[in-house]
Amino acid sequence: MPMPPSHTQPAHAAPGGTESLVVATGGSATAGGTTTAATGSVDVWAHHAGHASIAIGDASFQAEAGATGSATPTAAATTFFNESGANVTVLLESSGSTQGSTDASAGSTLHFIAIANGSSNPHGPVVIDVQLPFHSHPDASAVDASAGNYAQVAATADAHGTGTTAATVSDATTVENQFSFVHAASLVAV
Amino acid sequence: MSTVSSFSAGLASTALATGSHTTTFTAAKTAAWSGTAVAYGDAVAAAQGAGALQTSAATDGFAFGGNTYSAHSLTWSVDYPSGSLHTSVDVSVTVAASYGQGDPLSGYGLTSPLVHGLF
Repeated sequence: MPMPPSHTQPAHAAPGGTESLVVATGGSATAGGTTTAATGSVDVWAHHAGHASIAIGDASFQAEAGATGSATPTAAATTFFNESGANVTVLLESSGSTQGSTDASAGSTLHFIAIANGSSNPHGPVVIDVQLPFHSHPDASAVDASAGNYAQVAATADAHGTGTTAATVSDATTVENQFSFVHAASLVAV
Repeated sequence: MSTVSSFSAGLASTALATGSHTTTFTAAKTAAWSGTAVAYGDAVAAAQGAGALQTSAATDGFAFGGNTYSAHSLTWSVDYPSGSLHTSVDVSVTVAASYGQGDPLSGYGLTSPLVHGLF
């Protein structure tokens, strides 16, 4: 006799607000030179339905720098992803950098899905119907790194369900003719 | 104008898998000649079993020389249960290259080729 889908079974994973899935993601970007631009965005969406929890998100950071004279431009970008309590995780992370004598660029991007199936039948099927809201990202391609020093960052954490937690932290710093720096992180517990 | 004639490339790849059924694969390839240095590497670690599993795949490389350096890395990780078994797969790929300010014909005894009149 086939087992019913787990989403129809009584929930016991987090009925009283005890989070079963915790996800933290973010990154940073640093550009050093006379003209610099650093941008970053973090978006995390999480939902807890009693029988299962899911978190979906992405993080993207870019850095561009230019230098004149004997100065060497530098650019670095990193992203990170940490989770706890997930039964299923899918993570795709891509990063790259280019270093020239007068310009440098770097970028790092990750996408993830994490699912915690807390049903009484952890091996049963889980049906997930997700309608993600639209999030606007800082468009690094629109940044002109050839003029001035620029930094822009955004972080969102959207958690749905009872007893859920969402938190973000972000900062952006620029010093004229020196560098741009951005950092952001989002955390959800559902 | 100074000419940089030293190019080098290196790459390291590691794969670790623990579990009742495991497999790993790594590859590291480098090439360097006057004008360009390239490094490529990949690592795959997969494990499946009913107990605790752990997989780790990592690559890191460099290329040196010239006036332009670029690198790109990609990591992919999947963990999921399938029946009573758990499956974990990690993949990592890295490409690094350095180029510029070299003479690609220096190894052929044509350090100063004359091309005037050919085009």
